[in-house]
Amino acid sequence: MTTLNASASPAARRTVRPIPQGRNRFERAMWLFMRFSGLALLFLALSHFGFQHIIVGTHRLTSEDTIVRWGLAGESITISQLFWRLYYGVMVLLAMLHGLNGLRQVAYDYLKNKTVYNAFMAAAAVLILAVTTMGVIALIVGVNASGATAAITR
Amino acid sequence: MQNLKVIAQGARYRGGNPMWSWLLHRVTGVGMVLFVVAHITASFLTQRFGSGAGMAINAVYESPAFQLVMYFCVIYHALNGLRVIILDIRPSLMRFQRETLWLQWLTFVPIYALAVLLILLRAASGE
Repeated sequence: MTTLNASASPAARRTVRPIPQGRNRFERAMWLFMRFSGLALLFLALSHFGFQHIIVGTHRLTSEDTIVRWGLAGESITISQLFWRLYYGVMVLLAMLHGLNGLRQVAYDYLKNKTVYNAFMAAAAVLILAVTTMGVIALIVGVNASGATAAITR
Repeated sequence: MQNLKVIAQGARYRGGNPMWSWLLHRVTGVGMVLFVVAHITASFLTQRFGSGAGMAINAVYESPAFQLVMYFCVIYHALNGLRVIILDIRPSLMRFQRETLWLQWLTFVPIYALAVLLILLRAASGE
């Protein structure tokens, strides 16, 4: 009795999902994507949180800071504004794909009925695509002056 | 009924601290998907149209209670994900999985405590 749990095989004790072997290239690609996007999001999301909560403050979410950082629609864009738009662009794309694949794994485990699973995933994909589109449009176009002003003065 | 049984089976999967961290990773992940969807939608509506609906959604996650939950989700999911990545790179560390979990909680507590302090200080100052 040198080790605890000696009866359990290493595979049975393993709870971290190993890289999928075999010919399923999609699953292997997604496995790698989850690790790499997760690592990137660790820095992106936590810096976004730190910035918004500690430096800006949550209660000024609709304030002028966003206009300064992103720039207004129709105006020429500075290097700093380009940086922030790329930062948020990368974050929204990685986060949405990471979330969609996470939902797929959860749904695969719990929704055993194939029709229910397909319907759920179709709805999730449409929702994620719609949200990603909104985020990307806002980043490409820039802040809408009249909309943002209405929100600030409200 | 069938689905409830499947969920009950899923919730009991393997057991112990590793099981709870796995389950918590899922719950916090789904929670963040819902939050980010609402967050981007609200920001888009507010920025584009100065929408009242966008402002109403913003008001929900400006509440300290919501922030306490969301900070838990983000910090937990980030640290647990990092632990999983490290164990994937060095599978030999799986022998020490339970120890890595304690290390994760030891890292989590001070970071989350700092976040809680900041949220409560802001709430108390009425900002």
